[in-house]
Amino acid sequence: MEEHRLTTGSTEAATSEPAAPVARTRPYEGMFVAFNKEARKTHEYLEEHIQALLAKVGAKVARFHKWDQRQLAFEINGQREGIYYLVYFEAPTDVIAHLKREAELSELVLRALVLALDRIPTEEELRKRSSSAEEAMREGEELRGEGGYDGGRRPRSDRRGPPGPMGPMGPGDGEREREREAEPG
Amino acid sequence: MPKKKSRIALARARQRRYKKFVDRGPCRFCKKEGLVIDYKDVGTLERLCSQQGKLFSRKRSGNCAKHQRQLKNAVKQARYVGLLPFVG
Repeated sequence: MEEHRLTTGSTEAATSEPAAPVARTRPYEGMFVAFNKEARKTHEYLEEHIQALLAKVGAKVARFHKWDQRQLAFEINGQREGIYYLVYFEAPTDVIAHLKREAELSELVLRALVLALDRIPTEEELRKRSSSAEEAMREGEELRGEGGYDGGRRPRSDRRGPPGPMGPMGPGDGEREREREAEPG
Repeated sequence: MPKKKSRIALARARQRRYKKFVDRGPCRFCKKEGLVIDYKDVGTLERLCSQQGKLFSRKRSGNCAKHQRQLKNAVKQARYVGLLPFVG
């Protein structure tokens, strides 16, 4: 019995070679946050570094641009500022984990977010999306009156006053914030 | 001794209390066709978060379940890349 099993196994291996699995290629959106001290003067090398990371895993870059340079909401790897690079690329599905790992090991890249897409959006589509989101917010505010997005709640007497240790509550906060922003200085 | 309210009266009082939240139109994002809630749209996300950085409830923002879910994901992605704070 044992002998039979062994022979069958060996013949199978000799006759049918297992086909190499082919990974599907699909579009992705990648947001890379990179920064270091030298980036204040020039940041071209950051771009090159990210492009090298993508090239290393065999990604086909469709669009690459600097999205923004801004203060981070919190400190990441001792950096308070970051340059955001937005990349649309096509890559085999099995290299994404490798790309994330490479980005994690890199000292220049603070964060990397890779999202799978159905297709790469055009510039026109992107512009349309952001404007419609803004419009939706504006209309929402109009509908809900002065209270804005608060669902029409009016400030109650116990919600007034300075913000407590747990942060201010109620819809009055948004108004207070807007007033603060409107004030010069 | 004050008269105890009946169950029906209590239910009606509760209905009245929550009426202002119930009588609302569709979600602000539902009105826009083809709208995608994106983590890069920081302005929109910030306005739907409290000063502490917590996402407003559906009851408060008036969003539908689908868009609230999309917002949740967008806020989490924005937090990861340092666009929004985890704690305000």
